[in-house]
Amino acid sequence: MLRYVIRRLLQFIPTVLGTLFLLHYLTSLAIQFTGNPVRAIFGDRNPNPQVLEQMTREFGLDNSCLTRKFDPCFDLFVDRLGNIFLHFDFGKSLFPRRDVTDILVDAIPYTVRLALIAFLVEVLVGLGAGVLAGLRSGSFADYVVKITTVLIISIPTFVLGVLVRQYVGVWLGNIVRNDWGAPEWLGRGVFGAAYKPEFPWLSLLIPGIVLGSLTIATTARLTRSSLLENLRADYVRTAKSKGLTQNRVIGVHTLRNSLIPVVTSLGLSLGAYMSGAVVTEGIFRIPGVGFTILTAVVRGEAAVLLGLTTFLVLVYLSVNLLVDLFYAVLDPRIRYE
Amino acid sequence: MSDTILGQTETIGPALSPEPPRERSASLWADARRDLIRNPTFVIASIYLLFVGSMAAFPKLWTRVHYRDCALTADNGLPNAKLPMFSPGHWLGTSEAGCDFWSLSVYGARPSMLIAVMSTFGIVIIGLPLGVLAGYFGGWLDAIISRLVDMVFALPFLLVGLVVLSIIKVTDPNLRIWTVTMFLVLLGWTTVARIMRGSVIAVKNLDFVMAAKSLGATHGRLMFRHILPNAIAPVFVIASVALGGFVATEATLTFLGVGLQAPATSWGIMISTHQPLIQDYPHLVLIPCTLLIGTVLSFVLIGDALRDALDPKLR
Repeated sequence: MLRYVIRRLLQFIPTVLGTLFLLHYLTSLAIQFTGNPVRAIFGDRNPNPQVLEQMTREFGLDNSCLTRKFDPCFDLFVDRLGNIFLHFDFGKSLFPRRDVTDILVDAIPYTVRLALIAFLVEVLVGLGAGVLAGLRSGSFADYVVKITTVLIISIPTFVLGVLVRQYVGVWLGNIVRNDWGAPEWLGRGVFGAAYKPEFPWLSLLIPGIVLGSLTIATTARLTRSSLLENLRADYVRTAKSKGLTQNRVIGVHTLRNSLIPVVTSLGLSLGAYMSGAVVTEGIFRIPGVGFTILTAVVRGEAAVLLGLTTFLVLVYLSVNLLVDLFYAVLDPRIRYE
Repeated sequence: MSDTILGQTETIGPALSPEPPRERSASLWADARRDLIRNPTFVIASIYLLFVGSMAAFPKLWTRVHYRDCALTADNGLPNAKLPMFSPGHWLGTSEAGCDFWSLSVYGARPSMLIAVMSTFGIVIIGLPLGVLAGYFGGWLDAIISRLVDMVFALPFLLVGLVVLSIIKVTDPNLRIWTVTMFLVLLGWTTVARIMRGSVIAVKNLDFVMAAKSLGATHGRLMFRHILPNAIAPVFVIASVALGGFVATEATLTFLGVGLQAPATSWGIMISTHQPLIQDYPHLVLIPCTLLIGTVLSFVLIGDALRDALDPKLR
């Protein structure tokens, strides 16, 4: 196991550097071809050249390599890596004048709570539906799960978000609030079109379900197919022929083995939440990391955007690494490869 | 089970075609084709895509009104914006700016489909050869390509899209379509390369490849005449799912404000400009949403049908 961990860690370092370089090169190319992004902050107004220059410097975009097309800007990349790994500095925002790290510290709790709700919903509903469909394959329940998951996969998250906000948050919410006279925590907390600071968990419930929906469908499908595959395996037949009870065959022998690929997929869905959070937080106005990213897009603060995204990519890569290591713990075949 | 299916073919076969029915037709593709045209989901999804595709290719076939012929007040002086559905002259009503909503929806298909088709084409053009090379030669070439795939794969689509596309200031609608396509191809080719690599590795040690090799076939001939035709099936499944995914991604990027921009039209633009009006004019949001979901759904269903039809293990 130790050898596997060391090998995986050694692979991790070049992957991180390569991924960050790709991100850096893509943004540098975009700047080299279409000009200084700081100009976007001024919109149609014509900025004072000195102010523009000053702001470009503060954003760390004053390197002359950003004016030469296809220049990989290695010195800028090394600078940025140094800032990130030595000083934990992801850049600065000018409106308000703050470090990106401080902005992140404020925003992360919201996103973590949202992701936690989405993850719980995904595990409970996705696994449940998948096991149900897998055990009764060909039944009515299987059919329902199959159709629902295909439908959910086909609805883009932002469409689902806009529709749920209107028809669950507002329309159904109005019925619950006015006609049923529901208590405050249900009527205003759970149902609503936006995040409310006085209900830090309840008002994230519906956005969390929206965020989890895409991965619910993937998890359910994966659980079902993995379970079906294992139910045909030799060891299950052996277990049955030994005379074990159905519960033991399914619960102890089949499920444990079927869930190994599902665990990986669950871990990777944390990465999907990062992209999804931008959409859900934007629609439900949750002041998390995704919302901060959208604000930076609207303001045209490219450097802030790059800092935030770099941070999220690092988180994503670390989660992938942990999932891989966990996978090796669950499945010995991986670590002796 | 396969016996009953065979029995059916033999009874239906002669009525459909003059050819004598063949025993379990030899090729994977012929079997798949036979399965697919009998699959109602596949047929319905294809018909829907034909409908959307013809909207994208020949919008004039479906509407005579151009989507930019808009008027806030009609000729008789009555207000013309945000008309309800089934108004005279505008059967889907009119948009916020007084444009015919049906015509907007028809012309809106083009950017989405164009981006999806070109991006899918692009990821296959880049991913397929890289996957074949990595799988066939292995060794250091495989190591390099696989590491590159890992790095690109680790970049979250939407986040990097927000950064890169918000920096690129291209406003010309046609150029914007190309920009978005280029971005989607740059980040999207890894799935094809991965699948192709695995598929080639599975095929390259089979007996028929060995036979060709022992007859002195060159690397190129082995790769493209012997291995590729037998390893390419999963790419069609991936491509179909990717088409749906790109339609959704384009709409999402547009919704977030970094994809296409008005005055161009696309379903994503229609949803994002009208979503503040959903309370009073729900049809202005629901119509583009339905078209969008229908398109993605059709691609996903076709991908599923292809996967089932092309998997010999299910036979």
